[in-house]
Amino acid sequence: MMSITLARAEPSIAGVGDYIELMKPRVMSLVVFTALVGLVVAPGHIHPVIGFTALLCIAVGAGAAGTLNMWYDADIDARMARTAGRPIPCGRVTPGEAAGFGFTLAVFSVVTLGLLVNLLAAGLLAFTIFFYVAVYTAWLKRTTPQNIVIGGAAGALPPMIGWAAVTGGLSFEPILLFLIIFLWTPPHFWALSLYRTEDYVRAGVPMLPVVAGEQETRRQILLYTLVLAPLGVLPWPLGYTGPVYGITAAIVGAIMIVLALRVHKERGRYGASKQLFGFSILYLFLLFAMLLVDRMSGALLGYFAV
Amino acid sequence: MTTVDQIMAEALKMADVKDRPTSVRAQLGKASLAPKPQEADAPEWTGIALTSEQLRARRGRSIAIAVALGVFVLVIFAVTLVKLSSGTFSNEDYMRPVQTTK
Repeated sequence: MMSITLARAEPSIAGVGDYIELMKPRVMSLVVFTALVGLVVAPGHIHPVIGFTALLCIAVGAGAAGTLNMWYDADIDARMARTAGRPIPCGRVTPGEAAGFGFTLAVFSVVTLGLLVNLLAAGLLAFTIFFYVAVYTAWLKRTTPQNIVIGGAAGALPPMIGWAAVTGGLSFEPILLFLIIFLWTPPHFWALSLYRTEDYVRAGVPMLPVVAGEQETRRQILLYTLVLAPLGVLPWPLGYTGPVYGITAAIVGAIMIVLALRVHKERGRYGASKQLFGFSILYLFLLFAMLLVDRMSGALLGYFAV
Repeated sequence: MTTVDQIMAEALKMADVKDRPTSVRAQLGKASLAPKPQEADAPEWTGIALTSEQLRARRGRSIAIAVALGVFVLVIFAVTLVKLSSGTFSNEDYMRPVQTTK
């Protein structure tokens, strides 16, 4: 007589807030913002309804990537103080529920973007989700200290998706926006990892401070910032934006360099690292906000001149 | 808890055992389908009783799914209107008037 007992699934206690948390709303907001900038600065016209649909799909796609990341990394999250309170490690959402939710959102967002906006934008969104989940989360994160350098490409793609949604193609300008976010990612995350090293050691994630040590991380932060700051100004001399953007980018870029120098000189303390981490968020926001202001003011001036 | 025995018992009750080959019948005959004494005394299972927390969570999820579906339908509707008004769907062959003979 068989005596295997089938465990009946407990009814879920996951609330709407848990599912929203799975989608990483703060990352989503940054993704939507940079995609909006790509959408607005692109030449040509997009109907507001189509533009809104594109942003909605990009937001949902970003949420899907975040959900699938939390699903795959639940074991790591449970061992890190910063992430131990997430819905899956806490047991509020089961891994199966998270996986189902993530894959459904991913398919819906890509298919909807492809059907309602255009195939290039949908293809880029699909690639972004794939890169973030399969390349960064499942492969690079656990194997190499260059994880966030290469994985940063996923976070840098949204402006290109926004651009592609309007034009149906790509050019150097969206690639420049991609490069700005791509080079911004290492100093941003390494500044965080400097004062969260114990967490990464406990979770077994080979972040640069864990593998190469603090001094090398501080040196790499400075090197990346020295490349990032002039690159951030580049859209101005290339004629893509006006002086308002250029001057702002130069000022905030100089502040980034000063903070990176302080991180480089700091020994055994993390005040400068925390400052750099916080300011780097403001830096990226200001850069993209100025791009938006520049393009909107140009459009308004053109409207009133006519 | 549901056991495999219970599931098997239900399945075999529904199956027409007489039509099975002798070997299969012999095999099935060996399986004890009679409930154990403690299972016979157990109260009949009447379904899953949700706690108030589970009910609240389910209600929240149901509302969220309804809102999401509503938004999805509205987006599809709005984009369809936009594409219709901008002539995206107008195809020369499709829009050509049907020629009639007098």
